[in-house]
Amino acid sequence: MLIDQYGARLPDPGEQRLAEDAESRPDGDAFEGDWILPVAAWRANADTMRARIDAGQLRIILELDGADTAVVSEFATDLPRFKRLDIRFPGFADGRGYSLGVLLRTRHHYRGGLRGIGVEADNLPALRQCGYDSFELDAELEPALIREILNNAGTPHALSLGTG
Amino acid sequence: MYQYRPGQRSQLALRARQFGTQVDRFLAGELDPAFFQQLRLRNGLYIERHAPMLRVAIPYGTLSSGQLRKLAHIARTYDRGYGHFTTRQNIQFNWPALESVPTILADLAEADIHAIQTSGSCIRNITTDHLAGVAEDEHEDPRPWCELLRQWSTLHPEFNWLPRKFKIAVSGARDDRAVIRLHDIGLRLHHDANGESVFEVIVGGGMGRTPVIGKTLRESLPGDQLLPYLQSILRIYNLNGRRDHKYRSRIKILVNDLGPERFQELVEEDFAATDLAPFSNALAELESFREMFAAVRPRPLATSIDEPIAVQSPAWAQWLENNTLPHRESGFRIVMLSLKSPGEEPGNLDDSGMDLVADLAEEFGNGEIRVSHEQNLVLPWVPRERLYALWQRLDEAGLATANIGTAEDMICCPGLDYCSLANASTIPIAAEIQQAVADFPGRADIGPLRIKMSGCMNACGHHHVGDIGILGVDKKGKEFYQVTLGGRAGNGAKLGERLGPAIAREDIAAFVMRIIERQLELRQPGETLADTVERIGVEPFKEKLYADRPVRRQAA
Repeated sequence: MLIDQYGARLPDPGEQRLAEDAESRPDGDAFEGDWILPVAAWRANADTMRARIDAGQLRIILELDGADTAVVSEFATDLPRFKRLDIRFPGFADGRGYSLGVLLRTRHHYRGGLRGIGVEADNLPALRQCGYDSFELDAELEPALIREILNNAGTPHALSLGTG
Repeated sequence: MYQYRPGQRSQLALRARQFGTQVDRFLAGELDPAFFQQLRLRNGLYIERHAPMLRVAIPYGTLSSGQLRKLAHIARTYDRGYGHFTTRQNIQFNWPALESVPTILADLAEADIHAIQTSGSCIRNITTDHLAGVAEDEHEDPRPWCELLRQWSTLHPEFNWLPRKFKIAVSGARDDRAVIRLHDIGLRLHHDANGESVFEVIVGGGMGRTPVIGKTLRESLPGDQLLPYLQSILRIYNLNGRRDHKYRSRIKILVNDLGPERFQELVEEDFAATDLAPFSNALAELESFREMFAAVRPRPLATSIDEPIAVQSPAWAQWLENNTLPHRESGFRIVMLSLKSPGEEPGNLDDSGMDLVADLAEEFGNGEIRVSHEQNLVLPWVPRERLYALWQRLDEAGLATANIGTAEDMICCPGLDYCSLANASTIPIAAEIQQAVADFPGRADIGPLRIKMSGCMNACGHHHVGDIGILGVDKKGKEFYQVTLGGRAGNGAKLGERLGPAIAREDIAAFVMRIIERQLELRQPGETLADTVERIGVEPFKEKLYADRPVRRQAA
């Protein structure tokens, strides 16, 4: 299920996803609007896409593997061009995505959307603190439970916010 | 002592409620068992050999009398009437029911105690010198800094899912009593030429199956940079530490794989890019913490403070000699309470014992109790003139065992009797060794001796850094014990050297006694066993112990 940072269910945004093996590339005229791309597709056509993003014809959502920690610096200069970054967590125990989120927000001043994919509801409060603003959960949960999880997280001590 | 703010108190209550909901969801089959396991570990709850085990944090080993009474209450109400103090200054309860744990956590929260991050791949309890604030050789009381680290690391959003557990220890004295060179991060607080607080930052030490002495990254990091610098270390570890193999995932492996220089480069790079502004409020906090810790002093003494303590009996004299230490203020002594009495499981104390110690801390001290990593308790502020009366009360209760620092004062993990990781028993072996030492004719000559025993490679019993280290191993279903000699935990930390083939369970106590006898033959005046090993190596022990007196089975 897809939710925003306050736990509210998000409507289907009508974004299109480019399949990994798609023959067509998002640099042709057929590509308009919001596209979710794997990193490889961006790398293959970055120059064309940059121009089309800057011309307002295309919006790109880059899908990253939360274990691939080097990508943040690779895309540093392109970050303002992305509508959203979707970080796919390799598993609940893999915490690299938390540091990625903090680095994106505080080190690279990334202001676009940041979505955690494949995350557990109980981890939402910490993910939110690390800069994530929407989530795709594997499980379907009652909205009341998600609200309770977010409320029960309380206000962390100011010192634990010392990320910079 | 640190005083919780109301907001922090409600935070603990909230956390207990949150865990209650998680337990309910788990029991209703609504929470993935593998995920719930990680959630319960981060609330201190293990599923052990016989039952769940709850590990409760004792931040930097400091408890108030009220808090110790609360622990006694937990032991009495939800457990079998005792608790086990650990080498990381925590306490473990061995028999709580899963369903009662949220209630226990709520009870603990009433006394500002929690079990948050006492387990799991996150930053664990911050430990320190059990003599902090009262030691003669101290540069500065490290506990205000420890509290700063505790607040920073507790529920830290970025570092709750690290590759593996992460342990931080702090020392503020000349003698390291916090084993800082064998922690993921060790911090040595000292003062620079201007009298400012600075830290030696040591990283990548550890025991376990790959014991390593930590490497120094910075000799004198300014105190106001401590949190951001640690943030950089943790971040580099979180991003780069191995997650593919449990035994290769501690920070010591990363530091070794990258090389300390490359690891430091990455840390310094991240640190240089860090905005320090968000940390500036931390130092203002530190000032208020310092006041809280400094405020805890016992009432002034009515009588003259430097009178010699008249010797009244041999038992009292021995207790005074072994179990009390010089205090930074004349007129006071530091009192150690041994939890290694013969017949008791090392580090255990029952509920009535806890209540009594809590009372005595108020009556004879400043209402404060410390837990040492050597699994004993400390009353840090006892006026010299009240020592005899205190000793009498302790003696009546069986808490005046005068064996601190001796061969009987063993560090010992719970072993096969409780722990599901263990390969071999430790508690019965400790009892046998204690008995053998007690029966040894030359007992009085042995002097200070650190025997440390673990029931498995994880080394909870710190066996690598004992004068005599004992590691339980399983050989085809039989319990054997590997022996190392010459380890040191503090200044000049050193890993013990393996002596030879492992010894069978029936023989290990006798074997330890022969090491002790051999040491008495080999040592020069004033030498500890580690000193002797440093001077002449383990060979002179080895040849004698394995060669001309082959290990025999003891008669039953």
